[in-house]
Amino acid sequence: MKKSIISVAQQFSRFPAGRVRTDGDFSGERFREEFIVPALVDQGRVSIELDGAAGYGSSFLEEAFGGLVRHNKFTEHELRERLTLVSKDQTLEHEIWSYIHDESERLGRK
Amino acid sequence: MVMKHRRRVRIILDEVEDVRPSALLYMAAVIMTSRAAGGSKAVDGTYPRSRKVELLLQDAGFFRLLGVRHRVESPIRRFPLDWIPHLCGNKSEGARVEELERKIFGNTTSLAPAASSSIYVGVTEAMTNVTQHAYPIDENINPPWLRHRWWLTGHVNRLRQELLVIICDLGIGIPKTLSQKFSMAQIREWLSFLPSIDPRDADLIRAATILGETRTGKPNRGKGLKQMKGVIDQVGGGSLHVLSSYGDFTYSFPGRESIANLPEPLIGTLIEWRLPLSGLLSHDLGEPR
Repeated sequence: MKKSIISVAQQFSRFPAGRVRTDGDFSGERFREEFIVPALVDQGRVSIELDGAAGYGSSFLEEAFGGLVRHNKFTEHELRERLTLVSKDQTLEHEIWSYIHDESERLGRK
Repeated sequence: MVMKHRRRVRIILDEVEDVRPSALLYMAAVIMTSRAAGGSKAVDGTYPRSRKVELLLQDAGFFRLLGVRHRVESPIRRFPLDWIPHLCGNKSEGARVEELERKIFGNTTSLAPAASSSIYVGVTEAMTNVTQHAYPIDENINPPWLRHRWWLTGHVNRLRQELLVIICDLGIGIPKTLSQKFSMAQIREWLSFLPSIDPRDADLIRAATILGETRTGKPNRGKGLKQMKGVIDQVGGGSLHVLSSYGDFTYSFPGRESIANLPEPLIGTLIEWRLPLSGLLSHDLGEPR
């Protein structure tokens, strides 16, 4: 299985913000639909580099990553196998996995 | 007056001797919205007689945002306040947040990276709260220009060694938003209220600041205020003051909360976020530039 690397700051924006497209140009919904999902579908495994952006609000993160379970039908188990998060800030990784976990629990999709 | 009775309004500022930054921003929001509804001439006003107030309106970017001519030449920075000039937008715009950080702190003062990121997150989440919740899609927003609209200002006060960020909207307000999205039983649970007690508007604002700390069984939404509160705890000082409808809620470090009810409702939401520079800067601001 091939692996794709996505740098948020370099390939998407240094200024990620907002939940859905109507919130702004660099929303979590857009990042999920245009970057994460195509990479997961095409490459199977995806590594996301989070450092270098100005910051990440919970709306952006929840929609980008919790949305993988909610809208794209991935399970937490699948994502733990195929998605790697890279950041110096471990709380950020923890926060993202908590959104994936919470949404999986809510939808009973583990 | 403009929107209800289709009448022109003149705002007389002659006698004004001082004005709070949050009141100024809110006034700018109301004037812009009235003009969007009734035309550019729907609201005009007089210059204040007080030079101090006129300079404040000028430095804060109030005149510029409203397209009012400056009468006095003024330096951009005037001790002790370095202003974030009044901004208005309808999206969550991260690039503008970094731009305002640069504007007020300049290139010679470096924010601690974690603090910079916290300010970015707090402000962009506040913008997202407005775009997501303040103007519900099924509500008739009049004028349509108002939809998703936020206003922002603030300053660094070198005397008080404090950053102030103010953001407001003219939407339906936090109490109504919360009541529409969650059951009263859930809200009472967050507030630890007995079933017989009905939360007041200030309680509902407080509930919005703790939203997400408990499992809601719903998608994680509306955590902006909680994140702003979290930054106060993280930097070890400051306060979050939120006015919305009849509610008046303040959180200040360390963990103090106070609530009050306003005698008249405030349309929309007005947030004042104060953070101590000592917790934000990697070194002191020093002498005024």
